[in-house]
Amino acid sequence: MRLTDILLNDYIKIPIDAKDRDEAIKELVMLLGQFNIIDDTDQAYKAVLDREKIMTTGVGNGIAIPHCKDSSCPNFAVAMGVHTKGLNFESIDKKDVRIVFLLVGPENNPGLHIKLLSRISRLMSNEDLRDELLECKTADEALNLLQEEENYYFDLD
Amino acid sequence: MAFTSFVRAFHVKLLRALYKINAPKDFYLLFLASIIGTLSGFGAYLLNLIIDGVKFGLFDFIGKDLFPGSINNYLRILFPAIGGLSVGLLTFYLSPEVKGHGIPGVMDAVANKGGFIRRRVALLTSITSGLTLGSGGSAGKEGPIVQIGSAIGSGIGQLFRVSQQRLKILAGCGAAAGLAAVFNAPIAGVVFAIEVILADFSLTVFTPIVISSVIATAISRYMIGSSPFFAIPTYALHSFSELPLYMLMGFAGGVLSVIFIVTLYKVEDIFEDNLKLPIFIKPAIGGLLTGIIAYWFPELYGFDDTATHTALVGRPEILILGILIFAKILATSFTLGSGGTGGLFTPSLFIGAMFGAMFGTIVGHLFPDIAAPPGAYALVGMGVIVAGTIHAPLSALLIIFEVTADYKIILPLMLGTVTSTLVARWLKKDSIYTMKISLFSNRTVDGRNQDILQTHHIQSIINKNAMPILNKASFDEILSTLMSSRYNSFPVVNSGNKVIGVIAMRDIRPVLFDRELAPLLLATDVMSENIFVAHPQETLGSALDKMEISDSEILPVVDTTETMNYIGVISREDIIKQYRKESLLMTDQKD
Repeated sequence: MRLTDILLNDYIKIPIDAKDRDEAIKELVMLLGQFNIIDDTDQAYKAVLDREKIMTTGVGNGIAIPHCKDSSCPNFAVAMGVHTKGLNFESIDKKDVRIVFLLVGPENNPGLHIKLLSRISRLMSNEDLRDELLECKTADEALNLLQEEENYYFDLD
Repeated sequence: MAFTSFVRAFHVKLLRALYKINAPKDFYLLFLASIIGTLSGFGAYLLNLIIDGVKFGLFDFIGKDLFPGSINNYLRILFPAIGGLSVGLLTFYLSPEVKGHGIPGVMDAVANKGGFIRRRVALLTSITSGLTLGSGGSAGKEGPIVQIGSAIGSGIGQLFRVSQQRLKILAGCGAAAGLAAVFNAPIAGVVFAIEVILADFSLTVFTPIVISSVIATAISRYMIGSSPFFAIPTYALHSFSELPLYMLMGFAGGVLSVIFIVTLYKVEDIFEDNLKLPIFIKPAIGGLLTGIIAYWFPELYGFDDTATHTALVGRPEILILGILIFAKILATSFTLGSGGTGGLFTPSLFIGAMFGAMFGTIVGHLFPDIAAPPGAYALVGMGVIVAGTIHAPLSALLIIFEVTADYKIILPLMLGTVTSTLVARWLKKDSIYTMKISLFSNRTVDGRNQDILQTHHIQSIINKNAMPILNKASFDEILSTLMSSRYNSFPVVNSGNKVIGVIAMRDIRPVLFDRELAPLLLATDVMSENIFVAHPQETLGSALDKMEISDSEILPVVDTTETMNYIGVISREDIIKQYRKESLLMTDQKD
């Protein structure tokens, strides 16, 4: 399985309208909720926020990967949003976050959860790719970039 | 004792020398295995000598030379009884565990007594089985030789003071060596020891057992000869439409195997419980009954292979075959059920050959175009009955390969042995071996004593000092907990000290070297949900089952499954250690 197998272009929002971290998370949760990916959006939103409050998922370089393992999310899914100005995620490098990946999944598969987190963080360690993603105007463009980049990697499992 | 202290001193020197030359870690075990192989190989030869000696003394010297003529024929009835009486007296005064068919005793010693077998068993079994078989008792050499070999293995292990784990392996080495030597069947010896005696298919067990088996077979080939046990024509599958017939034979054979098992133990019960006579008289009565049956059918004597051979080369008469099947079941039950010493393999081969030849003759009449000659069915029939009685299809099919050197009949043989094992297990849970263990000792499942596992609780071995990981713990904290502990997995608790999951080493391996991600992960991200938890009143067996099903090293222990409050950790290693200690306490260490 690859990241781009579960990150469909419907789940990519460019740009997102949120004014702060919580709104950004809510926006992406609701986006997945629209496609019936999440059983209970309120519960999933709360789970992601709870996790975020313990420690930030702002990994630096303008990237954040909020995530949760929760019973409201029976299947793994990833949503992505790009913010034009940048939001405060209390990132480790203190920079504002412009690219947000939301990962949700079930409680019983920590292995795949970690692999997906790791795949996102690896892809985003490529500075050129980050810059190109920020230039994208549509979901299709962003998805093509990610698919191209991911072709260099092996499948997740 | 001077010899013992010499061995001990040698043992210490040898171990230090091995360490110095950086020898492979199990070199020492292999060295002991080769000693056991050698002794068991000679043991098999010695057993043959005793059997032949007793047989010569009774049947040839007394029978033909002292009482020539018709009296001789009647004396034959008495010979097995004389053998039985001597066996009865020997076992009564010296060692009760040598009576019967040997292998259950070995399985019991391995499963429940840490591989401990009294040393005198090797010598006494040789004598009692030599008397039983040489006097005409209806049984085989394989049970005794497996017992002798295991006693040699266990004895060598005790002399060199090996651990319980290794003592079991060495007992298995002796069993493999013994079987390999009497049947000239090295592969079957190895597989039998692994499948039946040890019930352990790991590689550490494999190497020493192979070594013992090879050495014993080589010795036996040198001393006795290297031709296969039964020299017969080569048989093969005649047409593929025969396969259903072989399957049907497997079915019927499974039923017949169960009849054999039930009869044997029924007769044994009658001798043990219903017959109010001194114990040493009983084998004599069993011998007399065997002698009476064998008066009409001399081919039932344990040392006589001609009937099996005739069936295999294919000259059968249905009526005789049918009678011989049940006569053999009875004669064997009388010999062994009354307390004689001997094995069940050869009788199973005999019954299987008769049964197969009969089945083959019948299908040959019904489907003359597709059926192979009856000899082919006799061959597969042997595998079918052996598999059905000992519940070990792999050992059964390998032993048939090796005693007949016929590799062409593999498909029917595999099909027949597996079918018969399934049917026999379905009709009766216990094999001809485990039934004995269930009777005289404890219930043994998968080589473990269920009485210990089901009566002891985990309470006393809960590790309450094992620190759980908090769900908010950072990746570095998880790592440092993991590195400083002897476990590979940990329970995760929330701030209310309730168990919410487990983290195993294998869960975090993928991110160990992911420099960007690792610092951002918390315990809650990498933990898996609990599949099972244990509570203090749980039995060792139930906790172990949970770990084996979920493939985990530890279980979190909680007060109750409703509240999930963390108490401690129980590990598989601790349960096994406790089990070994308890089983050691149950062992009678007197020698």
